[in-house]
Amino acid sequence: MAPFLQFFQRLFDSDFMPHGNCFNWQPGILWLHVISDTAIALAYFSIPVTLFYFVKNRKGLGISALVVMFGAFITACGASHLMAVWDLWHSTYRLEGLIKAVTAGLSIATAIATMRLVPVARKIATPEEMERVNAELQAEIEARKEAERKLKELMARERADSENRLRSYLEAAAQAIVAVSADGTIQRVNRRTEEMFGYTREELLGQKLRMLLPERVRDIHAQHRAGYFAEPRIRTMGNGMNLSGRRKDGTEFPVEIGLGYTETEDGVLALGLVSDITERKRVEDQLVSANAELKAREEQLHSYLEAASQAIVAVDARGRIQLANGRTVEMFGYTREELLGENLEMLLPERYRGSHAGHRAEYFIEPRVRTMGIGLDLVGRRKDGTEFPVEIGLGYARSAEGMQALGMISDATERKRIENQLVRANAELRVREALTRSYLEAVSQPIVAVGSDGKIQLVNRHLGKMFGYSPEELLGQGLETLLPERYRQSHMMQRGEYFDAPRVRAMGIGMDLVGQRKDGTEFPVEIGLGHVQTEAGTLVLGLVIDITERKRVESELARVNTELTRSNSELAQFAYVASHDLQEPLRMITGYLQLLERRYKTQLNDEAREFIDYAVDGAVRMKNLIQDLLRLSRAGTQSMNFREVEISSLIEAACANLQVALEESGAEMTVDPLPKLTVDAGLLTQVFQNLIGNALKFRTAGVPPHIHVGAAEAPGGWVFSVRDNGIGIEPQHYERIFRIFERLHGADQYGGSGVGLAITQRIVERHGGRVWVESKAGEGSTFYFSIPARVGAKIASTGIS
Amino acid sequence: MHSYLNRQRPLEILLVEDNLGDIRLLQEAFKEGGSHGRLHVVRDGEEAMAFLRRQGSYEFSPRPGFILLDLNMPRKDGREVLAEVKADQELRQIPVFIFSTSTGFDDIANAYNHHANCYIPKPVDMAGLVLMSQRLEDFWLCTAVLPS
Repeated sequence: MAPFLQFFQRLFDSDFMPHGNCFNWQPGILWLHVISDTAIALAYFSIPVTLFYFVKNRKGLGISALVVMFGAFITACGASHLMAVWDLWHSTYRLEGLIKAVTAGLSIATAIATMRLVPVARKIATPEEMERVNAELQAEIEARKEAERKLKELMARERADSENRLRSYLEAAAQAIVAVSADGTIQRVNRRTEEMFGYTREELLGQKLRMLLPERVRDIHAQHRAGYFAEPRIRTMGNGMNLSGRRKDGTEFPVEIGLGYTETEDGVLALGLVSDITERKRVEDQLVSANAELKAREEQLHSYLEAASQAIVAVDARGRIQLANGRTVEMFGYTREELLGENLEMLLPERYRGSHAGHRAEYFIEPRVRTMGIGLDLVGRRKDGTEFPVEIGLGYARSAEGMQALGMISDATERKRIENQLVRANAELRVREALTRSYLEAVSQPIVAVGSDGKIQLVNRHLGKMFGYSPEELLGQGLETLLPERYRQSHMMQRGEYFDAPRVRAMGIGMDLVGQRKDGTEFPVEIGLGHVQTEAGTLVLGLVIDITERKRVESELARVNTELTRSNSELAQFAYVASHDLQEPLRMITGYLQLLERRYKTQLNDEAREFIDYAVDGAVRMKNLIQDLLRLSRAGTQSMNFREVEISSLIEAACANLQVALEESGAEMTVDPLPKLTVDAGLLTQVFQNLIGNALKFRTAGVPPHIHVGAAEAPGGWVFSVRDNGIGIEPQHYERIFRIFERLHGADQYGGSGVGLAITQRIVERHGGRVWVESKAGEGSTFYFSIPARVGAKIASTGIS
Repeated sequence: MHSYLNRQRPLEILLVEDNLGDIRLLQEAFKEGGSHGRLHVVRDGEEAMAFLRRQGSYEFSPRPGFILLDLNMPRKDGREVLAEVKADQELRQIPVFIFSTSTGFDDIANAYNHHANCYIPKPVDMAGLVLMSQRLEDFWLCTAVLPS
């Protein structure tokens, strides 16, 4: 058993004799003790109860430690007396002793505490002191009451101030503020109300609110007002409705009204805060119309998009196609439905898709209007998988849905093709340029190139040599250095004109151009002009020819020509003299010889007549000779009369002239089909007549002549031939026979002056053709002559005349 | 052949020719051919004009039926005479026959351009000359009609 429990058990052990034994259980003494001790205990116990009651009901006194200690000490005393009663029958003296010990402790502690209270108790005021203190307290109370009154006054003033302030706030408010009582009477208004509605304050106060409303809403407003007073709260009036106010002049205006209320001595007032929203409405209307315009613009934009020649694609930040115009559909072969919402990279070849997505993301971080992938070859991919070069402009647009990147895509196929051509052409050009430079030196003609400023840009060796300079001396000099002083001014002007409209031509046509050498000597030149476009502008090229020698030859030619013309006209004169003056004496000789013969026939003998015959015969031959000469002269000098004729008609005319000879010889003639040509009919008839006449004249004796006229088309014209079966010509004579007065036979054998073939040759040559013969002695001859087709005025004018 | 032999007035012929030999030959040819004309001879163009306009010593010369005009003459040649006659109101009716050795194309064309009535190349021999004189009279007197 624990020592603690053992201790308690022993307290209640009664191993002694009860205390009653001391009284021998005599009832007198026993009960005296019992009653006395019990009374003492009860008296003791009542004291702390009374004490606690007093303390509790006495305000201002707490249950102090002393009261507790005193209570405990008295209670312990009472308990020890009760213990004495108990021990009369129960011998628990150990417990009684312990209680006495506790009582003793408490008594001592209380005694000590009481003793320590003595100095405090000594300070407790006396009743006099109390009187004085009381009077002082009374004065203090009076002072406090005075202060309180003053405070109240102050607060009242304060309240009036704040009310004034509130009123001025109301007055200053931008809204019209109207306070209305439940019966609809206007109680208060502010200045803005006057302005807004056009009434003065006096006209409003005490009047009914309905005067500020359009008539049509007055009744319904009264109902709403009643409703509001039933349950007033701060709210907006007529939410979502168009409210109108009515001015004094009857005009209406849109308003917005906030509702509130205030409680006053006169009851609840409803407050209306009225805003004139005319301006806001106007802005709103503007906004509406602006919005409509915006919508129209949007539609317009859309039609622009569709009309654009470029494919236009908009993508969002995730690369999904938000917009694609018609051109996109055409260009890539997808339908619009296939494109919208899909990833942009579908329009790229596979190999670029990864990198493009990266670039696209970067673009969204820092968007700006620019060209995509400058210097790169961009490629698009059609639905069918084919690829094509593109050019892309980038832009962006911000919208409510976020930013969109815009791609403007052009099909660059055609441009690429042209570009490639250009590159090729450029390369070719460079090669040409290099070639040009080497040509320039290789060309044996002097060349100079001049820029538009007139400075020499380029010369070759030959030009330097021609003018006596080294090429280096000339480069950068004015072109006029190469001209005599007197031409420089006009040349500069003409040079300017040439640069305005350069073309390839000869310079100064019809003018004598002159160059000047370094040593000042001059020489005639001819200049061909050309031009080339270079990066440095137009270069004019001059090809210079020194025509000193040509000029000399030209003037020599002119001199010879003059001489020829003179001798030619002398010849023509001679022809006329021959025709006339020579014939006259001849005719005289013949005429008088014949007159002699006629008149004196009978007086003359045979011999005399024979002589006269010879004389006449000689004169006639001489006359024929002269006439042949004349024909030859005319064949060379007579002006040509070209016209288109049937050659066959010329043959007919020739045969008609030869009719007698043809019939006498019994000749047989064949003719090929003949063309139509432009010739001098008279002269060409003579040709045929001469050739056919010869064929008849030089026939083989005893053989009937057979003559064939042939015609064959040759390059550039026709070749005619007259073939016979006559005596023929030895080849060594082929050329001689065409010379004047050349005869192969004696005049007695074959007549003729020896002029016929010379005339033939001259006529053919004047037609631009030539004549030749092929023959075999004893078998026959063939004379050929050519007549070029379309013989025109040129040949006529080159004839010597 | 000569149906107009009994003309009251003989045919007056003006021959303009500078060469005496030619004049004589022509006179002989007209005589041999049996001409009825009266041959007046002047030796150059100026004389011819004087004769036609009856100037100077030709005050009483007759108006010729036709003129035989040589081309090449001294002083005033046949071309000028032709032009003057054909430009003269009074004289232009008189037929003018150019009578020349020349057979040049230019001479012939030129003569007709100036309204010569015909161009006769001088015959080479006597027989031709006689024939010409006969044919000339025959045509102009018997076939054609001259202005009176």
